[in-house]
Amino acid sequence: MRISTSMLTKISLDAMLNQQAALSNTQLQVTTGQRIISPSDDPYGSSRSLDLQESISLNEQYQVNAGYAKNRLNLEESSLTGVGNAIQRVRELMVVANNDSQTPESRGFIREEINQLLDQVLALSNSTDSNGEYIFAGYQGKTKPFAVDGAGNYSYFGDKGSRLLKMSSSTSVAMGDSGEGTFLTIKNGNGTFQTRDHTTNTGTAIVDPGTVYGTYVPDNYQVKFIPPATGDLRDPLEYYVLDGQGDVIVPAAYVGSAEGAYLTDVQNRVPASAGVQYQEGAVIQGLDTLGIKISIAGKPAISTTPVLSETSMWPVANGPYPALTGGDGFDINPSKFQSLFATVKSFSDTLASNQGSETELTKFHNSVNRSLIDLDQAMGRVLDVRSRIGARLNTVDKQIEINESFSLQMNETLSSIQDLDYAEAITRMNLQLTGLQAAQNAYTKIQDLSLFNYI
Amino acid sequence: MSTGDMLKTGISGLQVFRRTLSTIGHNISNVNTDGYSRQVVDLASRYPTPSGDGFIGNGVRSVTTKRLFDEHAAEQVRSRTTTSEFFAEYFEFSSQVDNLVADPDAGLTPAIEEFFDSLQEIADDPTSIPARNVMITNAETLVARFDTMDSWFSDLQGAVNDKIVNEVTVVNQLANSIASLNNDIIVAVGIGGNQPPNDLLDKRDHLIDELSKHLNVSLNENRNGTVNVYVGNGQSLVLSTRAMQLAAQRNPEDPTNFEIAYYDPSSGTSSSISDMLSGGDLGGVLAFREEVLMPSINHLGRLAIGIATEFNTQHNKGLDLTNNLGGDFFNVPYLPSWTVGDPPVAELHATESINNTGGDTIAVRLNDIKNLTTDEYELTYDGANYVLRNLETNQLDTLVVASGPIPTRFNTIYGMDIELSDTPDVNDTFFLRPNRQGARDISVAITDPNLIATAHPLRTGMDISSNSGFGTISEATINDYANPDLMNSVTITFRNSLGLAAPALADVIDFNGVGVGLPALAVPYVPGATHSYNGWDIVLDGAPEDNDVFLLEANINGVSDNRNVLALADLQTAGTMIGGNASFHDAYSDMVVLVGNLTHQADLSYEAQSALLSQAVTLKDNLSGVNLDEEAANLLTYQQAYAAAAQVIAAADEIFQTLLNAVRR
Repeated sequence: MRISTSMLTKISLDAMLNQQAALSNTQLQVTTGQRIISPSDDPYGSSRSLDLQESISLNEQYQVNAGYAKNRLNLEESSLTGVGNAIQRVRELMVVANNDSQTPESRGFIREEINQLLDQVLALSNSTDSNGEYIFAGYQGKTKPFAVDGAGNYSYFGDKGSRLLKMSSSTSVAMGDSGEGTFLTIKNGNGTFQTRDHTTNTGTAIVDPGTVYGTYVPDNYQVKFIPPATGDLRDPLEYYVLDGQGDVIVPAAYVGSAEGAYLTDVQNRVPASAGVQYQEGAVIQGLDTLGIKISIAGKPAISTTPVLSETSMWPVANGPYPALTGGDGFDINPSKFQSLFATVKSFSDTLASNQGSETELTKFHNSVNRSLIDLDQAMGRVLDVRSRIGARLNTVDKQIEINESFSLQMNETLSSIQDLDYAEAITRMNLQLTGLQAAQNAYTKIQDLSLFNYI
Repeated sequence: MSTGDMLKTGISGLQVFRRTLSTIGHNISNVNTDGYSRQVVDLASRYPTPSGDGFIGNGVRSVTTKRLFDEHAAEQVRSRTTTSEFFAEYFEFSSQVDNLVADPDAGLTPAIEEFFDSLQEIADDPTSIPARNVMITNAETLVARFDTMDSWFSDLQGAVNDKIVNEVTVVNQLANSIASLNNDIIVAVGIGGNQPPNDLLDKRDHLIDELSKHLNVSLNENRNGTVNVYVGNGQSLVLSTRAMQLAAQRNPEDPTNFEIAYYDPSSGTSSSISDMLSGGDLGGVLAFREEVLMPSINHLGRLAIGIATEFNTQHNKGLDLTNNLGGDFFNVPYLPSWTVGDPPVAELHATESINNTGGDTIAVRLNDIKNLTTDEYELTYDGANYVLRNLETNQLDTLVVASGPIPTRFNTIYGMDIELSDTPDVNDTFFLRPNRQGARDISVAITDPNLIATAHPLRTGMDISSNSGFGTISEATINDYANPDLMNSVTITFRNSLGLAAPALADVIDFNGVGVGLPALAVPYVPGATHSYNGWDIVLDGAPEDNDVFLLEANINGVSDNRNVLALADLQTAGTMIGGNASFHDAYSDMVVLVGNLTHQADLSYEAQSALLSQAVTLKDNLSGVNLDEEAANLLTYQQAYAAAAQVIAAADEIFQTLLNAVRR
């Protein structure tokens, strides 16, 4: 086959140019360290590396979010630690104040400390973060959430919102708790019902907060005391229980009967009218089917007009009792929401109440007992929230680790897709250099070959 | 035999060998001339002189000087030149787009990432004004990036147009030269007595080779040695000695793009032949525009419209720091979905054909982003049906008229709500280019950081002071943002069956507030049921107690609420594009892969075609190329022959002298 001289030149030249082009591409790869210089080098790989870069960037943002959440949760945790300590101190003071050895003066000192603690809790509940955002205000972070008016009423201006932060495409964490959930929506009493002495009580009976026994049937119940059916006031007093409709539900024989009818029966000593005999400190009977277990200790007062004397007798033969005008009573109401502030404030008010007479002291004790159980509820809530914060911080830490390892993996994958294998590239470059040199050598050799040199 | 005959014979050798030697010289001189074909002198013995004892030879003569040329090989070179130039040009333009789209500095990905990152920063700290300002700045960067890429694509469009103009000029010049060489060839053949004008033929064939670099040509040789050159679908560019002209002109239906027009002298009309041209630089640049550039512009436009529209839709659902529902965050040419009774709207995302006689205008509303394609469409009214043709795939769809005729509106198709101002004339045509302007049309509408709608418009809660039960109220979800009563406060009171007069035996809830259907009293309470008023939905659940109160109210001063900004940030990875399966990022990736693949293919094809071209050239040169070694050998051969012929003359002279000497004696 004939080869034209120009073709011979062109072939060698093309070989050199191709080697140079390949070499320049390899050189670009080596200097940038990238296998893919432009998408056409590996369209699928470059799309994949774009995807990975986006995931990595998103992941970095998730780490920033997680860091932010951590800061906020730590801040909240430290505020709530302060609140918890204050509650603990209030509780100690309650126990001290409840002791009969205390005098009205010493209780006044306790009250001063309580008020200071209350201010402290208020300040903590109005905590702000470094940006001046109130951390317990719900969504209304620029509105001071808690305020007290001149009458000592505490108000909340926030809401129940708490914002979520994304820590991964599928994980979010609440970066706080609202003041509503933390300080306000706390059930009073034992969390299900609250026992409360009637304000008109004149005896020395003290009610305990009670416990839930079985299924609680919510209603506003009352336990009321009446004289014994025997007419002998040396016998134990008796009591009956009303439901919210004013029907007598204990003793069982009277279920559904209105209180007025029952009292008339008691007064007239109709045989079935006997109440339940009161034993000091014993469980009030007939309430177990309602899920309520309470006991009353001390001496309740009964009242009649004219007043019955404890030492005198009112024999059955004397006929009806004097008119029954309502003895001591106790309410058993479903628990309601009561804020931490209201609980402490109520205790503070109790400390300021008169404690001169037995009756007043009994009221005082009943009130302090109520405050104690209410405060325990508040303490429980603060502990709940703190443990939730702990759990969240835990989640955040775990997620940060997961994100880190995810990021590492993705960077590795990205690297395997777009980064250059230097060993391979350098070898290739050497090979190409050798090829180019060979092509150049061949070119000059071939150019030297001409028959004309020999003519 | 006379001495004179012998001289004549010797002289014939001298003459012919000198001619041969000069042809060899010609070959050697033209060793580097493009398009030159090796020439050889055909030799034949001269007619012999008859005598009684046989024919006496009379030496040598040259029959002709011919070029060694194979039309088939030349045709191969031409067709492979055309193909390889096509891919070379395609690759050259395409690689420019290719380098841009994935560039970490100039590409779109980093800007999208940073924009959404700044949303997350706001979600972390919604009250921070600096974070909000950063987000607005990042949005402006994103818009600027769209704009930069788009204007860069426009520049490429301009470069393509310039290229077309240049190419057409070159093609016209070549056509003129070929025609004039055809003329020279006719003349030369006449003068040379039908001997082939080798160098003129080479020159013309070389020009045709040159022409084939620019576009696909086919040839037809005439008997007089001239050729006709055809382009496109058989449009004649050169007819013997006459050259036709191509013209570069703006496409009247799409003025940003140039097209190539052919003036047909027989019909006297000028028509576009862009679609018929293939191969060569011109074909390459046209294919690049159709396959890479315009789709890239449309991809980019769709992404811009997609981000802006989807973002606005969610932004409108939030509450900003001024306690108003969010406005549009991006400016984007947009019209909400039409409702019955809407007046006709001005031209949008589409144009009317200049040939239309009806004078009706067209508008396209883009509300259904996920079904929007990157294709362009042509809508034609045939008197009975409205036919939509996809200009990429030629898929035909008959539109379903939803209302009309003033304006005529159609059911949504491919994400487009099409609207014509009236029934057009028969055969009126409209061009729908929904994404073409997208990337340059968007801008950031908000400059005040307080106007970024980060919060949810509503919040719910309960009356803490009175509630004793364990009922819960969900966050409100909104189903109708346009509801005028949306932000009205509503109080929800639970009443249990015990507290109700007979015959009510079930628990009920009362909704008190202002709005359609409100107040709604004694609505049966079913735990976990959804209740909807004023455009919102809420779920009440759990065990509330009698007279427990729940509240729903506008989220006034809800500055720390990040619910809407979280929803905005979620758009980054949500399937909002391409049938609802692709995120913004995926849609961009799609474009990168498209461009990358086409560029990669062009590169591979170019390499393959240049190898084939190289083979074809080798094959052609096999016959036509000059080999200096061969010429050197021939040079020696004919030098020796020339010397020998001279010796014949010397011998004849010697014989004659010998005779003279003998006679003188």
